[in-house]
Amino acid sequence: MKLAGDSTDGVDFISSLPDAILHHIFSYITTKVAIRTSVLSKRWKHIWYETPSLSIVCYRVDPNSINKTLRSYSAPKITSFDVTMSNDVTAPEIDTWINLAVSRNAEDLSLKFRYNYRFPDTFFINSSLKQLSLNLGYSNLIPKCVVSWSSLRTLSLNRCKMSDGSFAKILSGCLLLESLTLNLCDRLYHLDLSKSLSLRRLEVYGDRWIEAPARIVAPHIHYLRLENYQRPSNLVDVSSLTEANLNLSYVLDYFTCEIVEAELLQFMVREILVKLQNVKKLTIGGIFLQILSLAELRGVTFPKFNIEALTVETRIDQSMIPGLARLLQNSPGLKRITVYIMKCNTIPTSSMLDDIGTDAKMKHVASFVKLVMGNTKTLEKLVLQFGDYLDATGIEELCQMVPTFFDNNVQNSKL
Amino acid sequence: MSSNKIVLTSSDGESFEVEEVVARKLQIVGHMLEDDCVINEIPLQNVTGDILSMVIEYCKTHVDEEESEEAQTKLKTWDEEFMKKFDIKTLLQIILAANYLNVKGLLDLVSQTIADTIKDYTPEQIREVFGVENDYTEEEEAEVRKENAWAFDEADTPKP
Repeated sequence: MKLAGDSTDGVDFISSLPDAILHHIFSYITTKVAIRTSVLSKRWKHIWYETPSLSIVCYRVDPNSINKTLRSYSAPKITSFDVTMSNDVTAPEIDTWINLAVSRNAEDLSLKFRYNYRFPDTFFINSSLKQLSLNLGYSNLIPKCVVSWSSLRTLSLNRCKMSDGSFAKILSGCLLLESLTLNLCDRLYHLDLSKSLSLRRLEVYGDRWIEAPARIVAPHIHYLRLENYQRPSNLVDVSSLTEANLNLSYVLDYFTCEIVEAELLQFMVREILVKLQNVKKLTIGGIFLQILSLAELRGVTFPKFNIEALTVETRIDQSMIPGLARLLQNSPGLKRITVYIMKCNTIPTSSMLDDIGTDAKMKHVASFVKLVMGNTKTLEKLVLQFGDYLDATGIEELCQMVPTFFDNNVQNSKL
Repeated sequence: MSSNKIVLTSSDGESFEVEEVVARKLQIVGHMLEDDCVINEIPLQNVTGDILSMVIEYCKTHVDEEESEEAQTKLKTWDEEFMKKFDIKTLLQIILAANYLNVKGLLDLVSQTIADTIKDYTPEQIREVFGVENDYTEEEEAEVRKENAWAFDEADTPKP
């Protein structure tokens, strides 16, 4: 935007905009910044009072001061409500925020706090909520009453501690749920989504301390993003799946990585791949690919896939190649391959893949491209994105190799 | 979609002939076409020709919004460049027009652009940039600041 000093012609154009437009502008800034505009002129004093979106971070702020401000807040209906509370938050303060959200029929609610809070029943029985995101800093989420979120479409639970039973209770109250995210939710082992008939998107994340649920039954989802730490979840039923994004974040330890573990992993990865028969768009990460390589080298057989678009997020070295080759050979309908070449966690190859080198050089990228060209007939597009990975020498090296790719479809972009 | 042409006429009598798919990006036009499908000339009372031409430019670019990431990135870059062309007064006229013509994407884009400016400036700078005249007395202004003291907390007010 140009900021010429005389661009406004001395006319206060912005103050003449209708409140509704100014409120829309406010929806892109925090409430704190919106409140600051009250000092611009008398016209601006009241504008934020009725803005339907609140976004507040309470770190190092006196709660009484905020309460004093909020007494002026008079919007009858809140469309978007996003509050992050400080670590010394007290139950009455959380009560205040939740009462405000509930009493103004908030539609899109996002709460972040770390406190073993007992949510009031009014929180669990709410027909206004369309989107809910909770981040409870590993504290409990236990509904004591029947849950009824009859308009809820999108639910995102982050760092919540809840049993299978508590979560089942929540699910039974969200019949229209379309999208579910479970990020580092502790105590959840068996995820049964068979009764969530409208659910289309599922994202599940685990880490070293909190593993993703071990079993996932989700026959209605079309999209799955699954990030496990050490072992992939058992996908019991994902029969409607058309798009998947899978990764493992574990870096195996040089000293403790036993072959038994490797065998178990390759078995589990194969189990997952068998469930992806109808997937058209697949994205996989580096470790997943390495395990696939390992399985391939050991003669594990893989099914045919219907993948049309394959995305690989990985560094490229030789330990990726056998797995990729197998994926390509078993995907006769592949039209598009995108490779995000990045530095990522991978299994130290010294313990896993003794016979394969580890050098991540441009020659591997080149051999990868040749591999792709040699293995697919239907491919329409190959995109390589190098991110920070490619330095000047790398580019030079790669350019020298381009003539050997013998194909014009290769797009080489540096982002 | 048919390639039917529609003529949009601004408040100052300027006419623009556009494809129906482009005209439909202006939801106000979309609704009119639904009510009566034989219109092919639409007068738009609250927008001048120079502003309408920019709205149309936006709608033409966004006419088929592809889902692919590349197409999205391209559009995003175009949006950023598009916003850089205008001074604040023009932006505010575009936001009014986008609101009246009901072009959601453009309304969001300009709102975001203006919000980013507001976010980065102190109240004094906002007054200067947008030409807002301060009609508070010093005492009144101090009172407003005091009422919402936490929002004016020095610790994280924007740096000039």
